[in-house]
Amino acid sequence: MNETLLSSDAPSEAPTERRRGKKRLIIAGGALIGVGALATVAAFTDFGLLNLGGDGGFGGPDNVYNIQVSAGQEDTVGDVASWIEANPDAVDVVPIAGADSLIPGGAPVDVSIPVLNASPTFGSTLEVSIEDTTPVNPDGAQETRNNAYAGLVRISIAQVADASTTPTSWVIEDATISAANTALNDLAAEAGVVTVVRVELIEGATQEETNAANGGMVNLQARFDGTSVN
Amino acid sequence: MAQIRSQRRVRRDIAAAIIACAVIAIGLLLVAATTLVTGAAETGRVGGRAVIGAAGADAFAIQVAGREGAGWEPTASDWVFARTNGFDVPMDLEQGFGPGASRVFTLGVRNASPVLPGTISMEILNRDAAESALFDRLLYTVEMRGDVLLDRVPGDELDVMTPVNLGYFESEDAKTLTMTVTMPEDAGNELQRETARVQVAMRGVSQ
Repeated sequence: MNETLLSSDAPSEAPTERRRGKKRLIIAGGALIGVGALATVAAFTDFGLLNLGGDGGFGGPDNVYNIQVSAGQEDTVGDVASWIEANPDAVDVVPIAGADSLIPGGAPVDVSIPVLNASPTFGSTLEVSIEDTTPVNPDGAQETRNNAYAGLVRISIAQVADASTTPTSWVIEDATISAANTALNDLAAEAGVVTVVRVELIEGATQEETNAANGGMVNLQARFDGTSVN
Repeated sequence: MAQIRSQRRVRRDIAAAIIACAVIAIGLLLVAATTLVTGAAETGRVGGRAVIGAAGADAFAIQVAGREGAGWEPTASDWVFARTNGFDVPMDLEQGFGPGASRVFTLGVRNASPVLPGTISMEILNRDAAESALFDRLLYTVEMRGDVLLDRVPGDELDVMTPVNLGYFESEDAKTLTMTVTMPEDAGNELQRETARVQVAMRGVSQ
């Protein structure tokens, strides 16, 4: 043993081996300590789950907002046989009795338009506006007559449950076409109302103004806008 | 000289061996100590398990409670274990949930262990990952004891904002938090008929 230790080439090897041995021991000790530490930080875990709204969750197929109208000119909402989306494409309300024979200062024409908040869950605001959708006529003389006619049109709007009798109050009265827009009462979910749009032709300030409308025509469109109410 | 060198080397070897033994001894002592500590903890946990077992739960257990509305305090009968399918928190479906609308919930979490304290975190999950259009747009706000933990965080950002640490819970300690789910004001018609199935996971780790 001593010879080995004292041999000229051995000393350079033996300490290295011993150091390695010590390192192994230290590493072994550290590893054991590490295992002990791991065992110490181990913990139990558990969890609880909460489903908000259950399986239904938020929204869903019924969470939809929708305004519908009828073109049948019914007097009450209950009389409506068929509700129409009328969005994005407008639907014609025709024929309107007397609409083709309005005369300045003559009898007005009343048009009943039922409106429905078809949403099962949302309330709705409701606004109505009357828009002039008359196409530009390439015949300049006819275009002039049409513009003169539109200038004499006056609009009144009422909201009623039953339009079989003449409304006793109006939300707006005798407004020009451009001014014929107003808010109506909010609608509850699945509730409706009948709007009555009165169209009349007034006399011009001068006979010339009245005569200028002779032979004119106008296309009117009622637009209903609603916003969901939570 | 050779003898002297040999003696010194032998002394070094002996010294090294002593050090090595000392290291082994220290290592063993440390391991033994840790084992003792671990054993002590296990002893306590076994005792805890026996107590909680009467309630049908495990040694360390989380209970939850929930109700729509603010300012609610769960009573003893409201706490439930809800591991597998979760506890369904009823929600009023008669009212529409549209842009600007909010639903407020009071959620409770309880460390049901009679022995072990723990930390609990909260995570908001989409139960139906295939249907995320509405979940991602909704805004989630969570408050606990006056602290705002989440402030109108969109669903598609929850991954980076959660889990939220609800802090340390002593054994049988409970906390309630208020969670508000809001549809943003600028949400459009495209979210009609969409569904968001929101799940709140309370996860606990014993200490």
